[in-house]
Amino acid sequence: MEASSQQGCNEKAGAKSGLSILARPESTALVGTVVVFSFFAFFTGHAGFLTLPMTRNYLEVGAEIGIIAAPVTLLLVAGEFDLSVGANVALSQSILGYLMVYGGWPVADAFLAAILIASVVGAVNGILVVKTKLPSFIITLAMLFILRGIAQGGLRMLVGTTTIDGVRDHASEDRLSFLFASSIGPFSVSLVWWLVVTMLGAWVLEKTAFGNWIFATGGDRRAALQLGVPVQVVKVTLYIAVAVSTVFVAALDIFAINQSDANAATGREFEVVTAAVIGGALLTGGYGSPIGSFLGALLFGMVEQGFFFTPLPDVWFMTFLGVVLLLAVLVNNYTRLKALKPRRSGDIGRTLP
Amino acid sequence: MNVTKFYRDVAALRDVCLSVRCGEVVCLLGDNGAGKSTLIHILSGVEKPDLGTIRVGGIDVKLGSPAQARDRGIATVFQDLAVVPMMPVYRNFFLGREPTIGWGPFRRFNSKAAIAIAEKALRDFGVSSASVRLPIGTLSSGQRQGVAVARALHFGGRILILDEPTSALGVRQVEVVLGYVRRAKDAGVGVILVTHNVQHAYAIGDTFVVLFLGRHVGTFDKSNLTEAQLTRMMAGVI
Repeated sequence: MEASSQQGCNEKAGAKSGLSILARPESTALVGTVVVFSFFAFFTGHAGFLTLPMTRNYLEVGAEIGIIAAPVTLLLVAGEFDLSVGANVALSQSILGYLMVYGGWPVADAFLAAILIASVVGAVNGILVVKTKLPSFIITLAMLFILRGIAQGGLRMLVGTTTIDGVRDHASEDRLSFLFASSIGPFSVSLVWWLVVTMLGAWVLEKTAFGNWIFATGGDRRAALQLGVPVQVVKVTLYIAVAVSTVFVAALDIFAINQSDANAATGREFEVVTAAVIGGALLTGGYGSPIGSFLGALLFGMVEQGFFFTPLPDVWFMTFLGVVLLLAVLVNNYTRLKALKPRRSGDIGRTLP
Repeated sequence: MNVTKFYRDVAALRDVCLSVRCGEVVCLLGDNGAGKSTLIHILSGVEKPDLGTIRVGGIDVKLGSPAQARDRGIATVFQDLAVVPMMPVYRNFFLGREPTIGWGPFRRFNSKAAIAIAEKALRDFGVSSASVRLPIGTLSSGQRQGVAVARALHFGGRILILDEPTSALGVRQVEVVLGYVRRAKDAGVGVILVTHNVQHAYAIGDTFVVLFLGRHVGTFDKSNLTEAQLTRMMAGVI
């Protein structure tokens, strides 16, 4: 009798671990990415979707989103939101462009200056959120306008336009420009940054004590506080990390198109959140995966670039993306609820011998 | 080791006196508004008494914060248990006190050790859960209580305060939780069980402290008290 109930328990545990693989946050994004890739490969492969330049293109689009999506995922897991990332990319582009072209600064100095300013912006975001306890949605929305305005207004005052041309030409002599302008085999260096940032994000979230605090901060703030987790430090740190990631994207951008633009990356904040949500992150906090967000950004890139080859006019791209996002959210929600369902009450009586 | 605590003239409490020894279960009883919560908030360092003293092991102590109370070996398991439902059991077990390995920037959460220690601590305490890797939200409410108690004791709790641990549970779950209390008692821990359920208290308690509207009605030994008497006292009918 005892033995048989024990066995029953073990079998259930086995079934449960099978389900827990399905319930990983990134599983939907993995399936979605494979489906979308197969779709475009099958229907538009002959038109050029499978070519190397095309692959390079969608990986570049993915990197633009994914490098920011990784730290944003951690921020979402901690239960907060950042709408200012697009504007922050534009501001960082403007700072880098101005310092390098007009200031004659080397790449490294300009880059460090941009990182420093972004860190201040991130810290302001974070401190405002934790001190006012207002929704981060509103605070970072305000920051979106403020930063975009500073980028546009600042450049207009300094150089009379909102774009600065010839960034790459100016920096071509610089030893460090390879960090943002080179190719690794057939692919842009942005792919390397994207992979590195994703791995770092996943490592921090899953493998460090700080990652445990991130989960707890967004999962149950009260419990985290009771157990002595420095919730405010966690949030401010993540806001800084998000802001710093925008500088990397800005640097890659201005080298890729040889121009900095104060109007760049409009709407990037939503693309990033789209990638994170397709990747399994919950907007309510406590759940998400940088690896899922990587796949979400990859999927975003494939859809955006692949759509060009379909017979539909590319203006339908948004609708298609919206449907993908909706499907992903529905599937993620379903699997998560399934994974978190309390076990049947029949198991409970056996907790004591 | 002897543990004694005295309180005098606290705003919502007047001259309340409570003591707990190792391996003893003291039930703090009272109807809603009797001052039970105020008393345990003082004991767990959340609030400070206006007058009176707290003694642990015969020494006067000041409990300025929950962390200080924890350092003195006073572990409180509140009603919400302080667990994060979506996180695995072992991550909850070590939340805020994660074991780490590695050096400098490569220092990381030692999940292997955390899983092993949590599994052992829960097994020793009789909390059988399918896996410590499952989200704690998938456990039954009784098991979750067990994890919270085992965690409190693992991190050096010598005095365990349980705040209404049975209030939202079914009959079977109550048995499970009272089993955990019994285990803690057998392990030599002094337990303060806060409840307004006389049945549950009488089943497990050694000593009963009854509060009524902030006053200390009395402290009674189980040997000279019936369940019916206890119920009447809680209602204020002496």
